[in-house]
Amino acid sequence: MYIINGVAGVYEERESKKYRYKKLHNLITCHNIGCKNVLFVSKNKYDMAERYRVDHIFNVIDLLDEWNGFSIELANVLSIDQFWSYIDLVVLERTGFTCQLKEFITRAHKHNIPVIYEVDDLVYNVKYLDAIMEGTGTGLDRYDFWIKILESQYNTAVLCDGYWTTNLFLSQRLANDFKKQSWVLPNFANPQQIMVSETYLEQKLNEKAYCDDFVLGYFSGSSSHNNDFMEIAHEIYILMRRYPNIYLKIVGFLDLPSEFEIFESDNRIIRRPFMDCCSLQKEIAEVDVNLVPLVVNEFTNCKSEIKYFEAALVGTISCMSPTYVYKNIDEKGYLGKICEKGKWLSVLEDLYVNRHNLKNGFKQLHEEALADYAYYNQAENLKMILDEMESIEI
Amino acid sequence: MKKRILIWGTGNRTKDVLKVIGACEILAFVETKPSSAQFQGIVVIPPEGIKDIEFDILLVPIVDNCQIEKYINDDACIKKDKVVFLSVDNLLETGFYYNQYKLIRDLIPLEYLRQYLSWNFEFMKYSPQILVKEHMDEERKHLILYAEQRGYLQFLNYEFTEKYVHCKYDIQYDGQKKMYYAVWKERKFFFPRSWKLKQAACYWRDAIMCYDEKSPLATSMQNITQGGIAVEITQEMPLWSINEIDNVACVYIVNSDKEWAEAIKASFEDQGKEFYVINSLSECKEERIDKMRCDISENVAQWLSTYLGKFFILNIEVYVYYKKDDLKEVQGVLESKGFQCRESDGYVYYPQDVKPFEKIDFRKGIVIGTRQEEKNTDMESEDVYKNEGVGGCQL
Repeated sequence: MYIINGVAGVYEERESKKYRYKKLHNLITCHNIGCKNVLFVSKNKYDMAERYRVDHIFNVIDLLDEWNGFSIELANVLSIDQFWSYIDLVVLERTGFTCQLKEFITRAHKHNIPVIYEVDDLVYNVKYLDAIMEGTGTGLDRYDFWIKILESQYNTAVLCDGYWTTNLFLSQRLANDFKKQSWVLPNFANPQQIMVSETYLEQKLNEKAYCDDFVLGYFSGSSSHNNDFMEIAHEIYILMRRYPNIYLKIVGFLDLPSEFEIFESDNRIIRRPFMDCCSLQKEIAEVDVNLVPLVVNEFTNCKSEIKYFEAALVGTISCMSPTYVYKNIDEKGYLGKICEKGKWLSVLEDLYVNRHNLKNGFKQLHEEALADYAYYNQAENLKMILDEMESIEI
Repeated sequence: MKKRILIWGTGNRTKDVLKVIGACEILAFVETKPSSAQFQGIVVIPPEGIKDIEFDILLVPIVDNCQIEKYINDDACIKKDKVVFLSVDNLLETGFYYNQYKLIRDLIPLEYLRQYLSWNFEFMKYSPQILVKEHMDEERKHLILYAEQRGYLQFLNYEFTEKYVHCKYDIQYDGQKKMYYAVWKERKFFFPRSWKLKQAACYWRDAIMCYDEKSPLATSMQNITQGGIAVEITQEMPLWSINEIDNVACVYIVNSDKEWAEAIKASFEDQGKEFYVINSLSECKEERIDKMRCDISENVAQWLSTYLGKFFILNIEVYVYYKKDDLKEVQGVLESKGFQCRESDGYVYYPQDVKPFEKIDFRKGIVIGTRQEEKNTDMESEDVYKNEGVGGCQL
């Protein structure tokens, strides 16, 4: 494991830059200099998906000469009525159906403005309910909850003119389900994530940061990932029984099986609360291996590669289930371990035994992550996507 | 007095709403097809019965049912300004327009509403309806009226801003310097090297709008003294200094941003005047400053307390809109140092530091301090800051 000194204040700085509302006039000024405006509508500004799919995209739009971005919350969509003539494209970020939203889409179409539905999960159609329930490990008591969400998302999506998502697998489903065009822009790291990651990587490359305990990291998004960890729980248990200096760090929500109580009492389970993206980079940097187990099915094949690149940016190697995006990473020859179900123990044991060699891969991991998942390497792709979206016929 | 409310529906969403609403008097529940005469001990009425009841709020916890929304919108007997669409299980997603804020703020206990408002407050802050109009002078009432006609509040709420909003800005690129620039009063103003055209255009719009003669931030110091030293403290473009340049002998610009410092040097090098771009005022070698303009967003009063004793300053303008107490605190510091103070004309709107449920008002833009020509006896020894080093750049 590694002892890393955190960089403070980065996340707060990002937050303070979110006040885009006050600049409604930028829509007019940008339009007047020939720059196109894309309006993002999101549920709320503190939604996790909103961060990756709106905030980070704004970091790339800032790099484009041809496009300006503006964001607004769903509850306020009808308040931009006087600006329609300055808007070229609307993107609805995974927004459920409301009457106001329907009216908003109608008004956009009246002004001949394409409306794109953006989603980074397979959560827009009831026909995928079984895959969702299996992928999220949700019990039957949540059926109603999911049906309501899926219907609401579908009712919005069906009104839109095109679709936008994070991987080709999901993109193809969207295109087939709605018989309209779909685009792919992967999730990627923002400037703050990259900045803190470079600081942490530098510390890891220094011998002083290293100590010989071996820490496995599980960075959970929400309690819906319980099933994912259960895929490998017993193998982790065996490994930890076998080697007393192996620890498990859990960030976020995870209910461990009762057999792990023995490690809890030995203080070998390190728990951290759910945290912001920059603090998370420090936690990931400190572990030796990033665990990314997933129940492989249609739902998880639609997931993006966030967990891989967040770890790779700080030089931490990932062991990943063979979902669509992780198999692609493996096929590209990028550093990382694909683990089929039941093979995790041998892969992890091998990494543990050869743990002193992990350092040799730090820079490669970082560089591969930057090549594909740095915000500044998305500009060309994003411009092409926005141009194509804007030109579709309604 | 408790708000008298009607609640539409008797289903699960209504039960959710009942969990969060606090002090209020529920007069009735509304159901299109009532299955019983009462719900939770309160009468259930059909929609046609709404017109017979005196109520303050009709709460509609159903937001994805267009039929109900259409019914309410089409029924002339239902006053629309009393209707609140609300989904408690999904407060973040739907149904809460900022213009309903005043209706609902007394209805839902703070712990729920505050959580919601912290998410949505950023937008609401720009709705004219959030301002409390009592005790406002005629000018501020006029500003609200103007903002209401336009639909939203902005930093400057004056008619003169219209010409800047709709203007097409001619921003040029200097291939040699590799920087965008704008021309104003026959002078070039360069933007930081990394800036895009769109960024420069939007910034330039706001910058020159603030220097319009009708702006609350327009300078009042031009021509009050000829020659002498001017100092501008800013983290951005020093428009004031360039505006003043014909009236002074030497200009110091305090700007610690590297990119801006480069752009400032490019803007000043053709002006034919002595100028310095410095990181901190302690690098200024002068004892006497004829004109100073301070644009400092954090702890401005504290900053003034530190520096006013180190120089003899004749005229000073200080931005005081960033924090709601800046006006009072800055005036206090300036008066304690012998300045006669007055506020600039007009108001700006800057609610960035306001929290949900705090009163929001317009603010004064600048405090102007002047004092008589005599040696400041409070002036501290140069030793106080001689070790800080001088890093100015004279071109």
